[in-house]
Amino acid sequence: MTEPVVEQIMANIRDRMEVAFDNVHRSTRIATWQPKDWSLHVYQQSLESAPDVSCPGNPPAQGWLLTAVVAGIVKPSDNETIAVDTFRNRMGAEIIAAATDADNWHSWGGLALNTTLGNVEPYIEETGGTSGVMVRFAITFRTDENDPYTVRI
Amino acid sequence: MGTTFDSHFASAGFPMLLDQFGESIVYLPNGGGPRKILAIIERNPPAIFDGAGNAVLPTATLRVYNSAQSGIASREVDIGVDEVEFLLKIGDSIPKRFSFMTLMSQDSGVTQLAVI
Repeated sequence: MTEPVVEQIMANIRDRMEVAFDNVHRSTRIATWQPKDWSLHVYQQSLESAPDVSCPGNPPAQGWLLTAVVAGIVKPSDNETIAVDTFRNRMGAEIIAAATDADNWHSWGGLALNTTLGNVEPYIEETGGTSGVMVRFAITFRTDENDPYTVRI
Repeated sequence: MGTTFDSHFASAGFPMLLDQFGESIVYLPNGGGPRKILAIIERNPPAIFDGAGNAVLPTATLRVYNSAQSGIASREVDIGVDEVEFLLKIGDSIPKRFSFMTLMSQDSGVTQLAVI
């Protein structure tokens, strides 16, 4: 089944992360994975219209801005003496290195116009049991206005 | 320092509850051998919310003896790396392995842990 371009991009992000990480997950309705140390959670936020990259035509090309998030989970032993920030810094760097480790990395296999790196934000889950970093990617792409399955470069 | 209630519940109350409601699980301490113990399992408890407002749902909560022999001692458990195996759904035949999420309480001879 052909997937919408936005889904193809998200799948591409996961695939690229799997080259560098053993445990890369996307959410399912019921979680089937554990937030173990050095595992990744790939998910997306809102898909916004990006009129500045839209183009007239027949059909017009609709521009989109996708915020993709790669969350790296840091869950070392309770006895670990290295600072959690150190693990977070390493995790954030490894995620960026993995994402950019491809020719024209920003296009995600020819699907996107451009990708820029966003914030690298630390997080601590409320119970303190899990923490990590969230690396945001701002991805612009275009599709046919009447066909979100077809890329328009 | 435990109270009189703590010691009574640990010696009489919790063993009775464990006898009635306990299920066999396997505790897998990091670097140690597996330990077969009894636990009261609460499956699919309410979601815990993280700082960003996202639901972080523990798979279950476990109540076990606060003991390094017949349960899980709160002083020994390593939330970061220890694991546990149990049947997630009643009727499952193959246990699944889970990580710990947090140590919820350690009073009255009972160690309560959220797992995910």
